[in-house]
Amino acid sequence: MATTRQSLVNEEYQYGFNDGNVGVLKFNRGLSRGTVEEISRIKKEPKWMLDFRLHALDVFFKKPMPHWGGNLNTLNFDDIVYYVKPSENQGRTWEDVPQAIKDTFERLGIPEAERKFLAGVSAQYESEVVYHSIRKDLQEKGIIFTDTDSALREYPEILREYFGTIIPPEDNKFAALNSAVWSGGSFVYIPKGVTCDVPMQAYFRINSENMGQFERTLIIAEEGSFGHYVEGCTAPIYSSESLHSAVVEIIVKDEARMRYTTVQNWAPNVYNLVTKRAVAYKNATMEWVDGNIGSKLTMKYPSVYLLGEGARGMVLSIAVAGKDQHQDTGAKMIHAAPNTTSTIVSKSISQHGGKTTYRGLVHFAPGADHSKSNVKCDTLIMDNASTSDTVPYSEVADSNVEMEHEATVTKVSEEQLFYLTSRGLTEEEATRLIVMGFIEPFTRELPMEFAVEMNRLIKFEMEGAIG
Amino acid sequence: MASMADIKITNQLHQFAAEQHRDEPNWLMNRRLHLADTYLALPLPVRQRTPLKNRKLDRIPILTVQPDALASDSLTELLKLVNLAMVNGRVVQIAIPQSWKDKGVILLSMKDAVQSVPQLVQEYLGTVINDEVDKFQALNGALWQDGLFVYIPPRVALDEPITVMHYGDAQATSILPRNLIIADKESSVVIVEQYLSEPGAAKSLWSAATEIVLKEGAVMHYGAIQQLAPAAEVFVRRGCTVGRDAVVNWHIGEFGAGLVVSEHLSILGEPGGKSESTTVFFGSSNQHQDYTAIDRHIAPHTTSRMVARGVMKNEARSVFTGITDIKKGAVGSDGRQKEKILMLSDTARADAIPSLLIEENDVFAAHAASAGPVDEATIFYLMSRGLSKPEAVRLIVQGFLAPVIDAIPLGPLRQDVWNAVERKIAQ
Repeated sequence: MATTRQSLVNEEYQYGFNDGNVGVLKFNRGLSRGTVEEISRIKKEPKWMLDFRLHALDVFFKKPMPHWGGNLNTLNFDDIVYYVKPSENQGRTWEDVPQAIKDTFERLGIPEAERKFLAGVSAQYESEVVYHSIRKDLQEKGIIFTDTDSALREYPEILREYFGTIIPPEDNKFAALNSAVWSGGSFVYIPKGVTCDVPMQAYFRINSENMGQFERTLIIAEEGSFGHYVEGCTAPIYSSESLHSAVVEIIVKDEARMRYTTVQNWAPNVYNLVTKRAVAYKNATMEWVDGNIGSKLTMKYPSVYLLGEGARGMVLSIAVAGKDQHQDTGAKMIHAAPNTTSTIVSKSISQHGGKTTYRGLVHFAPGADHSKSNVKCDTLIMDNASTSDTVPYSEVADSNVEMEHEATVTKVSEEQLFYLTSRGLTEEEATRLIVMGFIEPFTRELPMEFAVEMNRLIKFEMEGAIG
Repeated sequence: MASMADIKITNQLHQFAAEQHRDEPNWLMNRRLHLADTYLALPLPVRQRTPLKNRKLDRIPILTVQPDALASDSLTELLKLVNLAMVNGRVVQIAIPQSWKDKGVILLSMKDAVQSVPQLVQEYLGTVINDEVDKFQALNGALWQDGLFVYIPPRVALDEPITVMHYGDAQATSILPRNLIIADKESSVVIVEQYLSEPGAAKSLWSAATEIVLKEGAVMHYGAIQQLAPAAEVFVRRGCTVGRDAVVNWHIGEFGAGLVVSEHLSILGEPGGKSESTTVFFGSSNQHQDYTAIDRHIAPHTTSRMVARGVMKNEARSVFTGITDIKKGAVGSDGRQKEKILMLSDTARADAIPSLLIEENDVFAAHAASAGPVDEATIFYLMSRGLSKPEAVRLIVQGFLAPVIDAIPLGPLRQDVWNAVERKIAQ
């Protein structure tokens, strides 16, 4: 027993290795007008994008730091490196990718997953997407899956029509920062009536110390289409902080359905401050499946604006906070049309002194008649060093709606533990089984390979949870 | 650097406090003067969902002596029914049954208590509520006019409730009552407060504070019904420190006033303490109601139950913030919340924020909240039985509120709450 526990506890953040200095161009630390102009110049962007960036920078400087959520005191914007170019060119095959970077993605299992079950892969390393592929048959159906920088060159009209319309720079300080210095991210366009039945995957890797990664993703699902976008992320462990601040905008048109799955496993020195928002039109469905395991502090509240009659929104999330981690996560559902429905299921686990916060909003605007929302938040606190807050906001401005919200905060049930240990399981095994059951509503929604990965991650996180 | 204007206002405020309360001992006068400075130094409270800036609260005069009440017959009748009656912030009547006196119960106006039991007032005043927490609380701390003082000796149980009436007439501008209630070991007491005012054109500012101290094993039922006129702008703060194995039961009925910002707080600082809280609110016309209920678990094995039910109609707006706050070390604690809102109109708005703040793992905490319309099928059924639509809605509202109102163990209070509900339905 003692030996088992020893070996279990020794398992650490698996992706904490780094590749040394592999970039071909690395900015100095700090942010100024010059930084933004230089990024735009390197990317040879049109003037409207430079103007957009510079305006966003002004907004960023003007906006105060949020006074709520996690502790942002140790985040110093002057220490961050805002742009690192990892390679000269983007690869269309893995052979085109520099060896060190390719080895990293091999270690992360990306090429293997691509061969097995993905529609396409985008691999971002530092500021740029270094590898991009899409299955030919999907390309022939008219699906566009590329990085956002390429999209700005190749599909300028579509991009300009939607870019920044869902999350304007004025939305919040970190959206403004992203808008000013964005680089990389995915651009997905699914034409009318087209179904992409296998997931498209983006993988984000930070390598350098004090790196700031600011990918920008825009997804447009035309009428009656379907797509599933999956993202994962990891970073090396450094003693100083890195910043990941993404913006994800999604437009789901009439009758379309989009699913966006995240398995966030940043190293425990990464600030993960992300704005994710979708708009769903008539009878459209938007689903966020959001797993937060890593990072030092995550502040992320995926939202769905239900703008068309009959639109549906779903957020299914888990958050695991371990030592020195704070997962401040949640969801927002804005019901702005009749007959819209939303579901939020949130599962949080805090342990080893970690803190989870569920922070959510359900809003019913006037005229959202016959809309319904159901929110369920459950939290497990594994030990007496860990804490959890549940702060759900509901705003009802229409009489003809139904809102239900439930939440619980508990420890692992003594009765369940007793039952399982009386059947011969060790306390560790029993606890793990209970935790796996607790998060099962989440893992069962993941693609198979991710579910396996998620279970493995949770298992890592749970080890040493008792004692 | 204070400007000349600031210094002038400070002097005026100090002078007013000194004149109005010149009979008071030094420690209390110093407390008032200190809180007067706090009042001036603090900005308007920033409440995210209750903008106060446009309500022109600073135009309501505070440095005026409140007028004596005009003795109307109806008011005289009303005041006869209670143990302690206050009009325009002043105590006009105290009636204490002989049997209570025989048991050693001390029931006084606060101003009298300062003179006759100064040590009790000094020991407990300001220990439950932090008077520096916001501008309007500081105003109450600086200029409170009078209020109820109660001390219940150990093991004394009062058979009848202590009843209090706060009445404001149309001339009153600022009414600042302050209550202090101490229930000693294993005592048991019921207190019911009514807030009423005469409709008038001019705005009045109410800032009321009630502090309750429950010693080991004491049981308290505290009821309050607020039915002030629409011109009243009301800030209420209530707090209770709950002793070992003591129980506080809050029964709060909020119906009147144009603006209400109300908070009640149970501090469960000793093992075995329990808080049960029920809030019933009913918003109509353009009322703005902002309620906060807090159960703070500090000691092990403490329990809290928080229930709120609200009915919203017309253009009314409500915010209910429930906070179950379990501190580190409060092992074995159990805190639960339940909030339900019935929406009667599309132009009303109800926000709910039922929060759980948990620092301990060996606990149970839960909340459930819901909001919904009157059920069309039920309306249809009732109307098919010959009821008019307003009658059907009335029955549904009654059915919605009955589980919480009928759970109020005090007959007269229960009836008063039902009467208030009926008035709101008819409005």
